[in-house]
Amino acid sequence: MPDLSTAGAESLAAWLLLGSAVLVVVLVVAVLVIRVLRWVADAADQRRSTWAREVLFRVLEGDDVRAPWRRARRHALAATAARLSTKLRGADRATLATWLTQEGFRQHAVEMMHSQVALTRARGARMFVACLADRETRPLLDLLGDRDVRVRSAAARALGECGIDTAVPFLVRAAQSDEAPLPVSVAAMSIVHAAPRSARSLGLAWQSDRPEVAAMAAEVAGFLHLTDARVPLEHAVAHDDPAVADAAAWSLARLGDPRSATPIEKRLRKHDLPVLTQRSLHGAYAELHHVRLEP
Amino acid sequence: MSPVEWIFTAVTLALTLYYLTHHVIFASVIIGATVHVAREQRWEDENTQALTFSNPLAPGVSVIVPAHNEEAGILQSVQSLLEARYPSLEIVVVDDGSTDNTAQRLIDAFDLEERYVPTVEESVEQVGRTIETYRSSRHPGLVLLRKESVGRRSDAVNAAFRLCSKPLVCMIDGDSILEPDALLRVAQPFVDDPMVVAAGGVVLPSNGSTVERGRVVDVKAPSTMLERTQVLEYMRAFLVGRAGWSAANGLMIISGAFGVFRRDVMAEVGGLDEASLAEDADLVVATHRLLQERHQDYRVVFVAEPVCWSETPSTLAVISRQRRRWSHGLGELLGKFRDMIGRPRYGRLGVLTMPYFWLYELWGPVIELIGFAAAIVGIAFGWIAPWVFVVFVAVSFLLSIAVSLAALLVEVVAFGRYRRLADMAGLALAAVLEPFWFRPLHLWWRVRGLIASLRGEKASWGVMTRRGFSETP
Repeated sequence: MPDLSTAGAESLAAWLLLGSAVLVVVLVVAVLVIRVLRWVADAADQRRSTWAREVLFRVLEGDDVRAPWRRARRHALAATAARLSTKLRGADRATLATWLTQEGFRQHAVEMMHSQVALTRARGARMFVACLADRETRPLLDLLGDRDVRVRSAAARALGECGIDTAVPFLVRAAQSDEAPLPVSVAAMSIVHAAPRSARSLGLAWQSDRPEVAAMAAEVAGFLHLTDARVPLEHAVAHDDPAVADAAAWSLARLGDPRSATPIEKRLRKHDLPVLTQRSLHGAYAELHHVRLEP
Repeated sequence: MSPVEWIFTAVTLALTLYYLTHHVIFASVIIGATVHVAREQRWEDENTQALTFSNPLAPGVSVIVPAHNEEAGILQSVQSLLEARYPSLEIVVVDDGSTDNTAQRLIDAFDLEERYVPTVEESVEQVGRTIETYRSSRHPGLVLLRKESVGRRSDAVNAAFRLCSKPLVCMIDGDSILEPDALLRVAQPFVDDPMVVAAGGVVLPSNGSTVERGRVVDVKAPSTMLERTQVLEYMRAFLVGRAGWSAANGLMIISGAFGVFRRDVMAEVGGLDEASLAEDADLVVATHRLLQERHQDYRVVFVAEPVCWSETPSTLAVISRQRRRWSHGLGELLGKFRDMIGRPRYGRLGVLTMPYFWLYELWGPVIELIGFAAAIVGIAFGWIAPWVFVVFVAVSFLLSIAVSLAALLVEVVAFGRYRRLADMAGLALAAVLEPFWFRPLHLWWRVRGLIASLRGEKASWGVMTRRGFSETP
């Protein structure tokens, strides 16, 4: 065995022992101290959040309020406004957005959307929606092509929250993109929130070579009850991909036009679909004849 | 130097190297976990989840609840699912040959009526015969499947999987309670990234906490040292282990107590392996294998925020059987997929995670025992000084305490679920005491599990005595 009774080995052992013991003590103290600090920090957050809510409600009541310059309070105000804006509609939302713009939050949100840090860009998108009183969504549309998928998703959700249907073709294009695709499920959710009034808004999606995008268009059209989508949906029932056929059949069932029973029946007669899809199409067909199958 | 002394020296050096590499790898896993949890926490956004919740196009989730003699906690478990915040949910409970009142309690509590429920996925096989299927008249999405047991949880899950119709499938245990937002959070990665094929959340012991109408309303650390030690073990396994491996894109295990899979991928691998004891890890490894061999881009992720509360054993007899079964299952799993170990073709799972689990998790206890034996022989023959052995053991104990404390620290900093200072102090004390009493026992249970797997023993559902959840009066 190597001789461990040398001074060097003994001192290494002593350092190892001491180092490990110190690490344990530091961790025990850290656990307890951080627990206490969290209480304090949570209480401070709670106080700031209550204060921010009060300020924002005064703004909504039309009081002349100025935003403070202290960083922590501005941050609390921005976060509370972003949360609150999703629950406001009409004049209240416009009042809040105008005030946030006047107090420099919109400018700050745009700066955040150009940050190098993905999380900051996403937070900027959320903040930007709260400040949006007009239809100027260009900064959000630009973020749909961001290099980070989570930022793209945040921008899409923000566009959905804005409820501006002119954003729909951009969302469809982003979902079809090869370089920086927007997740189809996020695009679908955002389109539903934007609530376009015509199937034409989904234009590109109907002819998409990606089945998931075509299925998304079919699903959205049915959910939003876009009656002018009947013809493209009837074409989509004959799609090679079972998911597209399934989504289209159910959307036709939702639209409830009896003429749509024929293309579904035609597809069922081909017997080329998986069992689950075949059963689903039967359900849609029955629904068109006002018969509800058991779940 | 005599040949025996040479062998002794070689063994000692090999063991020291083994010990050092283990700690270096684990330290990097801890760092990876800390960064991963911190980054994910910063992305947390209640608005995103609210939008997913309010959206009818969110991907539906089928939740599978396999139950075998779970009458003590099954009602709370199902209740927690019915109250889960998720827009499109289907719950399939499987009563796998229970000899207690599991099925009857469900039938009475949720107005279940005998109904035909069609099989959706024929490609997955079921061994135990289906006896009856029921559907709730109050909750149309709630289905009960009663089947004959073949002694395997995996068969119960497969039987339920055949009835699942939603694009995502979640598995939880019959004694588990999901937090209201848990499904929303664990399904979010599937919404955000189409490459995600599986996601796991955190499982924590519910022992000691108070449950009200299927919801954990007061999180408390349990009172006994055995249960507290398990809280630490779960924190280590999830907040450090899973989070760290996930950060390295080499996650091998998603707990069967709370995991979500894409239904099409799960069907393609044939569901759970009916013969496997570690069926949850088996499914994850089979998924990795399928997609790597197909050269498909995919992600298996761990989400540190959503929690599934589960009752853990409260007696040594039960925990010993459980740990022996886990070790047995790990041995079976690594034996089954041995051709993947060390193969770059299977990515980080092949070159990092699986070799780590083989060398340090499966064979770790045996190597630890060899180390002790070598030390005793060395001291007896005067080849090593007793103080060297003492320092080695002391440093080893201190570092293992530090790992537990690091997991506790991640919990305190990122989540703060245990709010009482007394709970924190109790858990820190459990971390300090663990190496002195629990670790030797655990080592022994793991050795027995390893032997069972080497002998190819067949095991079945573990017998677990449930106390049920503590409800508020």
